[in-house]
Amino acid sequence: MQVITQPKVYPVIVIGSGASGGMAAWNLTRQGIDVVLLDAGDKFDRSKYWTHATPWETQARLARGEKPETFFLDTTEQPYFTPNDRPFALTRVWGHGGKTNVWGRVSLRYSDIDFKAGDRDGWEIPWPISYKDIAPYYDQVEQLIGVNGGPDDSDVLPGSKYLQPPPAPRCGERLLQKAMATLSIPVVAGRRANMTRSTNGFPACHYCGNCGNGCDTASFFCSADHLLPFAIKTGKLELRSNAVAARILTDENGRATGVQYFDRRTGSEQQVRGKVVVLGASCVDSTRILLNSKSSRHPNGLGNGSDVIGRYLCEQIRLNARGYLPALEGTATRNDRGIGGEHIYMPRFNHRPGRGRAYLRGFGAQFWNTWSTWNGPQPGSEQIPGFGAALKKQIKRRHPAWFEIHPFGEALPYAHNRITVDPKRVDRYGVPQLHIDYHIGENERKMTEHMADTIEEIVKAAGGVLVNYKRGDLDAMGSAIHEHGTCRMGTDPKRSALTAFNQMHEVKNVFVVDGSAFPTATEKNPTLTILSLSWRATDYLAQEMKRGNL
Amino acid sequence: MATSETDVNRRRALTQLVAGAVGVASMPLWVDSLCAQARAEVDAAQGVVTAPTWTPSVLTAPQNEAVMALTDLIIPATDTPGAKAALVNRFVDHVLSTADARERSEFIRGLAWLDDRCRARVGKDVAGATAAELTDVVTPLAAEGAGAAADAPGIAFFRAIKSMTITGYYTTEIGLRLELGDDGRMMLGAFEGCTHPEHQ
Repeated sequence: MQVITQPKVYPVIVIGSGASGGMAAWNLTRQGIDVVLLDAGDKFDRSKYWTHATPWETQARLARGEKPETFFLDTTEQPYFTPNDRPFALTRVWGHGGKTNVWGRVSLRYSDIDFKAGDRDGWEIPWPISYKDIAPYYDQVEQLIGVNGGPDDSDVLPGSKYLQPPPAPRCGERLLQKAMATLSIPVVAGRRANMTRSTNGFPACHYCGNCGNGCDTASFFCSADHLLPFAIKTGKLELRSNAVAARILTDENGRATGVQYFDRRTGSEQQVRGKVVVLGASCVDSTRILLNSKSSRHPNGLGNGSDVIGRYLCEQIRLNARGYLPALEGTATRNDRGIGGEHIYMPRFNHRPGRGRAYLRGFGAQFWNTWSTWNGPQPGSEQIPGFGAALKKQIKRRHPAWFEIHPFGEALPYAHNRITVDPKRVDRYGVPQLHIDYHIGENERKMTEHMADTIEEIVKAAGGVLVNYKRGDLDAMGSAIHEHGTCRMGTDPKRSALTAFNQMHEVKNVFVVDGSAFPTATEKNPTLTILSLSWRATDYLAQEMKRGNL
Repeated sequence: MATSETDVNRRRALTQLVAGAVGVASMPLWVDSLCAQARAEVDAAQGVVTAPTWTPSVLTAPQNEAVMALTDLIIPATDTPGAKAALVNRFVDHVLSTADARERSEFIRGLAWLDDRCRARVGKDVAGATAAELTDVVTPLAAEGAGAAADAPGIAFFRAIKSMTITGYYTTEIGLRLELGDDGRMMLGAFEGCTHPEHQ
C-alpha cells in the first residue's frame, strides 16, 4: 500500500465534527488558528431529509423509489464486539455533525450536585472543575445554539437565564405534571435545543416533530449547520471528509506529530501532520483511537501510563413504562408533534430530605410518547383485547391517552467496565476493533427499584393504568447513547488521563474533548456539557498556543 | 460525545416494549419476532404495497384471500375504511417475504390450521366463510387468558396477524388520518399544547 505523507504541518488537527470536534474547530478557527478537521463520513444531504413529509407522503415517496438520508453507521461496515452474555447497543453516526444531526436535544446543565458527587460520596474521582468554572460556557453555548426551557431553576438544574420560551405541555404531560405535584415530585419544563424563536439567523422550530429525520431548516442545533459553515467561512478550516482516523502518530519523545487515517471510499492510508491534536470522535471511537496509538513511549496506548484509558465506561441505565390515562380516553386526536420530544422533565430528587435511599447518585425522567402518535399506532394498541369494530373503536379512543415514563439513572464508574481493542480482530483498514465489556452492579439495581417505585407512584396519583409493565426490566445496556468515562479528566495523573482543560497529562499536545472526558455519567443528557467543555478546552488551547507553550 | 435521546434509540425502546407486550407467557418466539419484523418493515413495504400492479410474493391466491378476510375481520370498515381497503394483506405478504424462513412457515402453518378449524366448524375455509362465521371461529382464539391447549397454534397465529394488521393499518393515510384523525400538518406557526380547561 502506498503511504502518502503530506509535508504540511497544521497548527491543529481535530478528529470528529460532532458536538465536541465541531465546537473545537469552530472556536479555534474563529480565533485565527488554522485547523484541519477529519471526519469519518461525508456531508449529509439536506435535500434528502424528509422533514415535512407525513407518513403517507413518506410512503408515496418510497413507492416512487426515492430514499431518505440515512445517518447511522452500519455495524457490518464497522463491527464491534462484546462478551456473548453482555450485549451493548452502540449507536454511531459518521458524517459531518455526527450524532448532532439526529440527537434528542435534551439540554440540561450539570450542577455541583453532579460535579462534586465524587467529593461527597467518595466513589472514584471527582470532576476537576465545578459549576462556576463551566457556567460562563453554558451561558455562551445556550445563546449560540438556542435552548428552550422554563424559569424553574433548582440545585439540580441551574441557569435558566438564556433559555427561550418552552412549548406548552400536551394533555398527558399536563396530567402527569399535576399528579407529580401532589406527590412533591419535581417536574419542570423540558430543556431542549429546539429554537422556539429564530436564533442567529436560523428560523424557529415549526413543530413538525420529525427531528429524528434531520432538520432541513436547521431549527435545532446540529454541528454541521451551526458550527462548521461558520468555521469554513473564516478561511481557516480545511475539512477532510471520509477520513477514518486510526492512530495518533508520535515522535521519539512521545509527543503527537500527526494522525494516520484511511480514506473510507478507497481504503488508502493517509497521514496528516500537526502541532496539536484534538480528539472529538465520540467517547467510544476516541478511546479506540487512543488505545490503538501504541508506541515504545506509549506501550499501553497514547497517554495511558495510568491504565485508566478504556476503563470506567459509564452509560446510564433506563427503565421504560407505558400506560394510559382513562381521563383522556375518547378525547379528540390532537396534533401533538410539538418539538418532537417531551415538553416536561422530572429532575433528580433523591438528594432531598426524606427522599434518599441506600444507593449513590440519582435519576431523572423523560416522558416521550405521552402524546397522540403521528407516524403509526400507539405501541400499546396491540394490547387492547378483541378484534373487529370494537377493537377499532377502542384503539381510537385510547390513542390520545397513552403516556410513557422513562427514568434515566447514573451508573457508577467501575474499572472493570472497559473498552479494549482486539489486535486479532481488525477492521477493513487493518485497525484493531472495539471490544466493549459493560455491566452494572448492586448500586444500579437498588436505584432501579427506586425508579420503579417512582413510576408506580406517579401512575397511581395520575389515575393511570400501566400496560404490560415489567417492573425493573432495564433497557439494553448502551441504549441511552450517553457513553462516558474512558478517558477521564482529573487532578491526579495516576487516576486520570486528562487535566481540567482536557489536555492529556502525559502528552501535552493532545486534547480529548468528547464524553470520554467525563469522570461520571450523571443522570443527565451530556451534549450541552460536551459543547461547553470543548469550548473551554479550546479557549485554553488557543491561549497556550499564543503563549508559545504548544 | 453521546447524543441525548435519539429517535432511533426511542424506536429501539418501543420495539422492546412492544415485543415484550406481545409475548404472553406461552406465546412462541416466532410471534414476537414476526411482529417486530412488521414494525421494522413499515417503510420498506410501501413501494410494494402501493404498486399499481401487485401479486403476492409469498401467499398463494387462496392464502391471500384468507389474509384479506382476516385482516378485515380484525380492523373492519366502519365509518372509515378497514384493513382490506388499506391493502393490509399486501403489507402482510411483504413482511412474510422479508421474515426468516421459519417464521414464514410458522405463519403459513397457522393459517392452514385456521382453515382446518374453519372447515370443521362451518364447512368452509377462511376465505369462503362469512364475517359472522369467521367471528365465531376466531373468538375463542382472541380471548384474554390462556385459551384451550388444543387451540395454541391458532391463538399464536391470531396474535401475529392481529399485530401485523394493526401495524399495517395504522401506518397508512386511511388509518392515521381518516380513522385516528391526525391532521397531517407538518408545519405550525405556534404550538398550543393542551387547551382543555379541565386539564389545567
